Amino acid sequence: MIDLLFGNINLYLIVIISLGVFYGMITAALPGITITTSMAILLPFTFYMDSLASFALLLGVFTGGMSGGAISAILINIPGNPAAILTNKTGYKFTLIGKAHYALGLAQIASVIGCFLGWIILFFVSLELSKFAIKFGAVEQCTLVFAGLCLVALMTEGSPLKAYISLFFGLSLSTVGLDPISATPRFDYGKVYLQAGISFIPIMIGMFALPCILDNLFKKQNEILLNVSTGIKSCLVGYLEALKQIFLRSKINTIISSCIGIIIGAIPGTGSIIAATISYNVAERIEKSNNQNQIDSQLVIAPEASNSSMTGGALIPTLTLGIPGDGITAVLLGALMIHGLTPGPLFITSNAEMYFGILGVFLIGIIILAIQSVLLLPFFMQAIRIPNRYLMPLIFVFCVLGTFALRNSIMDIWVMLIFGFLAFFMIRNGFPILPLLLALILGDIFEQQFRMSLIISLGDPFIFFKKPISQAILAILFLFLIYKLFMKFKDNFAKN
Amino acid sequence: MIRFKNKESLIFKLFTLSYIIIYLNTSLKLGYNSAAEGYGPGIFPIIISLCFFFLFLFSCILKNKKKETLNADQELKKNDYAKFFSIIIFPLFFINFLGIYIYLAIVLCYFNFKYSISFKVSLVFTTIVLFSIFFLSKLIKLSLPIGIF
Repeated sequence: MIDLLFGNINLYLIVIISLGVFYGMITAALPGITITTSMAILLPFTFYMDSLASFALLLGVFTGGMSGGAISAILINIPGNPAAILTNKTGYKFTLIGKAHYALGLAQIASVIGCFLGWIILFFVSLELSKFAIKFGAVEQCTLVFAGLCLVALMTEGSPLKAYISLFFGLSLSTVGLDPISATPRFDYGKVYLQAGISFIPIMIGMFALPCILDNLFKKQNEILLNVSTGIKSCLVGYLEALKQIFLRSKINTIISSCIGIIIGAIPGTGSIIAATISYNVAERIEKSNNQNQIDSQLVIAPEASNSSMTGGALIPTLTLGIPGDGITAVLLGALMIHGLTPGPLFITSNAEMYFGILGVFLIGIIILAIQSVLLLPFFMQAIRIPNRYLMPLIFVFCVLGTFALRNSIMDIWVMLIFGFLAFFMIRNGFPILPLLLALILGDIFEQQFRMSLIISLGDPFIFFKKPISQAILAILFLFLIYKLFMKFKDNFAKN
Repeated sequence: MIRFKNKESLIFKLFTLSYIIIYLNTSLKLGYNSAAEGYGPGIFPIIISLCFFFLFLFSCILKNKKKETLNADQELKKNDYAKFFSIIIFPLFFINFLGIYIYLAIVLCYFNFKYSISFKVSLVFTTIVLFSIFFLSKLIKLSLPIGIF
């Protein structure tokens, strides 16, 4: 087993993972740049790497990013990424009383433990799930993709109706190009560019990065002022204190929060904010101490442990079933597809070496995160002083060059810009962009399996209700729908 | 302020509706096979366009019940729009004439409008040279995966 996990690891991969973790931590620490944005910018450059190295880089960014968001949340009262909003709530209190290093230590150690627990669960659950997933035929795969997309739209923050509109827009875009069964050209309007279908990478870069750039361009920004010592000695002292706190008084909280993160992460569409919110509320209820310092410590640990353990949870449906849970795993899935690997229930059985390689680089990433979060913390603390006005032009240049470098096509830059603007207005009008992107990525597989199912059943549309696995998937989807409706009625009732 | 939001959401709705109509019209023209052959390449786009249309209709009906407002800081100035479109989008039409570097130089100058001309020029030059060396050079692309270690 160890051979399988670490057989492919070499110095080159370790350097790539280290760079990924470093990049993830620094971009997540900078307010205004989300992990998804930073990963989407990197995506075209992974095109020139081998599949495991590209996945190692992106997984490093994912791991580093989940813990990096806490740095700015604690130090400057601005969460680096949405998942750190709850860390910000109590973490900044420690900075105000001069214990910023202790809070940073709590957040970083909780993140490392959360990531590690997520990895353990991913390792055991995904293998078992993959054994079951072999039974999936065209009908089951089609139902699974359908249920995954519906769940993402249903669980996304905001109006589910708008999320479904966004989803169908994405599905309609995925039908452009050759039909997956008979290779009939569709919606190409005689344009050669459209015959190959719309590539999701320029769209992904545009939709994740451009709204962030536009938002920062049109908004007035304040300079970041930081009055905390950035010396390594004070960081180490804070770390040791935090280590004592976690291993002596917060073991249970860390484990419970991590478990919440893993479970929430495994449900498509939920994301790190929900995981962090639930674990924060649970920690608040469980903690019985009268000591305010102890309560605040628990409330820093809980969201950080859960949003980091979510990385492992989110990878379970992504690797075993081919259903990405959020924007970050959608980018990871995109990286797999760039390298010709087909995500889906058969991914692990047909690419066992790659799968174990991914688990191996993930574990190495966690170890590197633990090292970097101690040694490079002073550097990250300095880096968050960089104003966004320096960063946004660089991100834009990254986006344009990255998109252009993919196929040396100006049309790709047009697509990136058009969809970037579209995303900007979609977000302003309350339409989430995640369902659109997931539908665009999974649309091809969805249509292929849907048409295959119809051919197998000689055109019987009720085939999806006749197979036991597909019945079970639809039943789960139905239960989620009922739950969501019940919660909405409950909210309305409470408001009235 | 609210009027602006309404105008924006109206444009958005019109755009969506015209997209659905074009999409539905094109999917109706696609070929169809018998049921035993899985209905052909048109079945999936038709289902999507119909679902898309009904959801859109439903959202328009529901929208009338709720009135959405926009915060002052969310409002975009027409000036910002005009500047952005003329500097980012307009030169793209002439990219074959300008080349990607000139285009990026214009964009960078626009983003760094707060600085003096000499600083702007040196910033643009350094950025483009660095990006060119690190990301567009074929050497680095080929040497990274296998060559270095």
